[in-house]
Amino acid sequence: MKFFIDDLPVLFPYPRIYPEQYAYMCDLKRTLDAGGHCVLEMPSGTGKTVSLLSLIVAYQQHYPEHRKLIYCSRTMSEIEKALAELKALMKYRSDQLGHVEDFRGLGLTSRKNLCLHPSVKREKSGAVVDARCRALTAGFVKEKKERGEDVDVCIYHDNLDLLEPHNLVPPGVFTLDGLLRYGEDHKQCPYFSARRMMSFCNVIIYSYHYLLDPKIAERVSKELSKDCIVVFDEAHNIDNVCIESLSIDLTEDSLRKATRGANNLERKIEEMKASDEEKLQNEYQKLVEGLREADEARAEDAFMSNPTLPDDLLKEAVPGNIRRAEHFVAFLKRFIEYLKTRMKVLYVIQETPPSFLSHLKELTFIERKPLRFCAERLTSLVRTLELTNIEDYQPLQEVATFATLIATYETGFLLILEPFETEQATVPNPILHFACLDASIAIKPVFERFSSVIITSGTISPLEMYPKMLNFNTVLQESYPMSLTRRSFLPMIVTRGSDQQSITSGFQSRSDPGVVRNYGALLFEFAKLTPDGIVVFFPSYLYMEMIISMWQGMGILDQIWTYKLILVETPDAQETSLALETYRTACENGKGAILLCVARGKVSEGIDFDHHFGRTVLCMGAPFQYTESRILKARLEFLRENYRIKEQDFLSFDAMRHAAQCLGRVLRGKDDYGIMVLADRRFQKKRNQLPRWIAEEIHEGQTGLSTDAAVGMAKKFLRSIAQPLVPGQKAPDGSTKGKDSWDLKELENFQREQRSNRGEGDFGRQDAYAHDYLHRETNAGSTLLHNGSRGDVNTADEFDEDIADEEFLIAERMQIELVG
Amino acid sequence: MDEEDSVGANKCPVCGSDPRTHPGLRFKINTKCYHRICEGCVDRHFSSGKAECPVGGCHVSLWKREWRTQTFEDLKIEREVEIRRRVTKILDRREEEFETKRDYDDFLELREELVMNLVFRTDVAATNRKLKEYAQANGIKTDPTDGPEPGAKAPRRKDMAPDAADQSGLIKGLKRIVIPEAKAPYDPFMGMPRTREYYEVKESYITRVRGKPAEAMLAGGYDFAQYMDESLLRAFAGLGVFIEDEMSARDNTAIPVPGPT
Repeated sequence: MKFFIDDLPVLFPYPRIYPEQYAYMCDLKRTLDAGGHCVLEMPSGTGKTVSLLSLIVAYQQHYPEHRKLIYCSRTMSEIEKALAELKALMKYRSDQLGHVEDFRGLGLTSRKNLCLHPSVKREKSGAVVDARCRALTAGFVKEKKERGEDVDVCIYHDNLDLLEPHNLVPPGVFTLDGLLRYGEDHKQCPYFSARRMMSFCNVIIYSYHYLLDPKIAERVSKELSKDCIVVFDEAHNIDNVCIESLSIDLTEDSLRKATRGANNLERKIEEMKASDEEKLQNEYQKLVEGLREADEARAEDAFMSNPTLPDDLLKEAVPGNIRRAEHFVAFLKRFIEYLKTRMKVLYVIQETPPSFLSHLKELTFIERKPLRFCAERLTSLVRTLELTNIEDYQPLQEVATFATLIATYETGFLLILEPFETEQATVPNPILHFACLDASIAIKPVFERFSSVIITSGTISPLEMYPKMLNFNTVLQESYPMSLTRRSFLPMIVTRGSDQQSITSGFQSRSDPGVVRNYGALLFEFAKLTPDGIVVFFPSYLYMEMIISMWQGMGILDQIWTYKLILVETPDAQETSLALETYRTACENGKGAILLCVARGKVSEGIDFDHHFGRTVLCMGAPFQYTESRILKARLEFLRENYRIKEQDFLSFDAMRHAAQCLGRVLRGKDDYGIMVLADRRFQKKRNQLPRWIAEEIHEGQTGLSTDAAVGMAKKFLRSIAQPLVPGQKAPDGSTKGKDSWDLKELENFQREQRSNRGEGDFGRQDAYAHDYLHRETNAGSTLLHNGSRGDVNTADEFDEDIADEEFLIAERMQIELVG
Repeated sequence: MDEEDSVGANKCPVCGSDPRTHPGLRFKINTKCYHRICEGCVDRHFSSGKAECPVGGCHVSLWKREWRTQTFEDLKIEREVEIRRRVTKILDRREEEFETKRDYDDFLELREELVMNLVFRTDVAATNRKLKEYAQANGIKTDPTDGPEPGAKAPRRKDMAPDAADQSGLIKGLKRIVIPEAKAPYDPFMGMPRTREYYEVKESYITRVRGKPAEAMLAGGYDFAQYMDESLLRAFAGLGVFIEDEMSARDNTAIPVPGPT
């Protein structure tokens, strides 16, 4: 369908549009017009990606600037999905417009997924593929070839040089698969085609890391122009991605490897000195001159800045004491030896970068300045030496990055040395965490460079937390409620078991047999009444293991067994995918199954349980982080001191975003239905931190339930959802409100109505209270709900006092095993 | 040192004890020959004063106090740092002392070069000589045990300008030493003459009145001489002031000084 938002014609590839999609597009357009950043939360399964793409593509094509879109998503499958969506959209556009637009959309992923070389692509590890590819495709390999030396090259890569550099692939949208196929047909390398074509693309779709990880961003994304529209989809974990991209963990083993790398470098330098002194001399000359070249490029604004290569560094020449290759290697060795000595300590150390640097200087005469140049100097050396097996130097690279970071940032980072893996361990296995505490450091260049950054997800509440944490200003923050013709999901908060004992996964009572039995009973009841699949989320692997073994002892598992198959997620990715496959088979077969998984695991993040794959989701316990972790503690302190976010606020925000993420797994569209159960008394007070579309559906009667009450409600809900939909559920006045989707005519009616209500165009929306596509009754209901809940909190306060105390203690000691 | 690293990594080369058989065994090193022996052996060999390093074939003589615990796992680094400490102490210049950044970088490289020479034992004699010359020319005290040929006089270079920052000519690009002009001591009267023109407090005035100074005279905490001085100043100070002259002088010259009158 084709409609207008203000003067912008939008082609939407479906005959019907959801009201929230329309609102989302309007807000997107406003953001793009205003030129700023925004945070948008849109319910999962309401077609976020397609509305985003169709609006931005329309925007690109309509306005003369043709601003490029960079769409960042999290996983391969999401990237592939977005590409397919884009392809369908472009096909629809060309059908409607009658001509094919000059348009390119490409996705980029790792070499491993895009390699065609017959032997390289068979490698299993991504790092090996990268390294072997580099050995075949690096610039000096080609030079050697031209000189007539006998070297292996990649025919797919070299074929690219025969093509016009701006026309490696024809216009159009290529999915990753499509690109592979095209590459196979034309014997050209898909990875390099995509990378080299990036500056000619209208839409680029790739993973966060290409923009946030400084090591990768430096190579891939720095040439993107300033007016690009950057979208981070599924961005609820973006702060963690930022932090991880700048945090470095060093172990004794990696230091050993780094030493080996340094020794190798030394040997290579000797070899080169004997054979090709000139090259080293050239490099030396260049370094004497300084990194001016890069500086000039940056001055022209060609590149994005890089957190590991601060601006002021470019203006200076490399310090004299690391100018010569052999001096630099000795320098690195000294630094590594120093780190090794630090590792020998048997107690925990927390240190700020300045204190580390002063101690370092005392012991090894390494000053701050050469340290800052470390990463850059190593890259230059590696390039000069024409090293191909770069993966051998990975640990060394890590040490160099560490050196650069610690010398560059005085705040926002903390050095934590943990000599023992666990509290009880007696054999030291030291890990040096260089923890980034400030998520805004990694993402700062993105906000600085690009004028419009859009952060969006299905669950990104509370919205104001993200601008605070990432330190940026928004022109718009919006959360969209879901428009439904009937209640298609039933969120409930269960706080007590059938025996009225309150249930919680809090530390004091988590191994209490009563609580465990109540959780078991809850699962058993829902196993009885739910058709098809049930997904259960626990706060951690440890807790899950404990509770399962206790259930086994109590015989609860045997009872459940008769109704559903039970499958368990493990930290191992392959076992988990096998479990998932079995789970899906069981759901297909009708009996259904139960999948027990962890709230921060792989399942909770990337896997959808649409329709019969998930009819009930149970959150057993609030997924708080392991607060005894020193890194987390340091981060909490940092947030409190610098961004004025209280520890408790952050912890509960983090727990609730994961809970919301879990809940969102089962509802993947408007024709889907499901039951969501939050089983922990601590959810009672935190429910307003859930995304708006879930929170508004939690009516007063659905909170503080006991198990039997919840079971009763669930049964009633399932019976009502089983009734066929009554046709024409329109509001009596014939308006379009309250419908869950519009065709073109209804949309135009709505637009007209809005215009007449609020004057011309979008500006009227600024005073818009709530989203007026919702049914009036629903709106009224929700305000009532808010009032009601506020009153309730007051009365319940004295009852909740012990909970507050407990929250203050934050006695969550379970280790969170993050699934990599 | 290489075989130490690989074969007998954790064995005392003197008594052959091993941390596995002797738990809690600790090693010590010295900064001359960098041999690493256990604490017990150090005590045994060096308790009665200076002795030779007990490691076979090594004839360096040492005091007990020269043995210390090692900081770095890698003895090569240990030695390098030790050398670096010595060189840095001698060649200690800051960036501000150089004309340009480039000169500073060159200096850093030079220092690195010297350190590396000593570490890899290339040109040791020449390097040490350079350091020595520099140290002597710049009046830096070096550890007397460090120099290989103590007492060698470094001739003062004739071709150097007397105000060059580095008299030995080793470091280039240093800023010239600018000796700041000696400042006159602070004068609270801003150059006003402090000689008494019209009177002089004579000893006799004081002795004459001594013995019976009125209490009021000493009330301000003055001693009598000061009181006398003050009274005389008050009596005669106005004599030298000729207002007419001063006004005409001011009218003629004070145009550029429109200060408060």
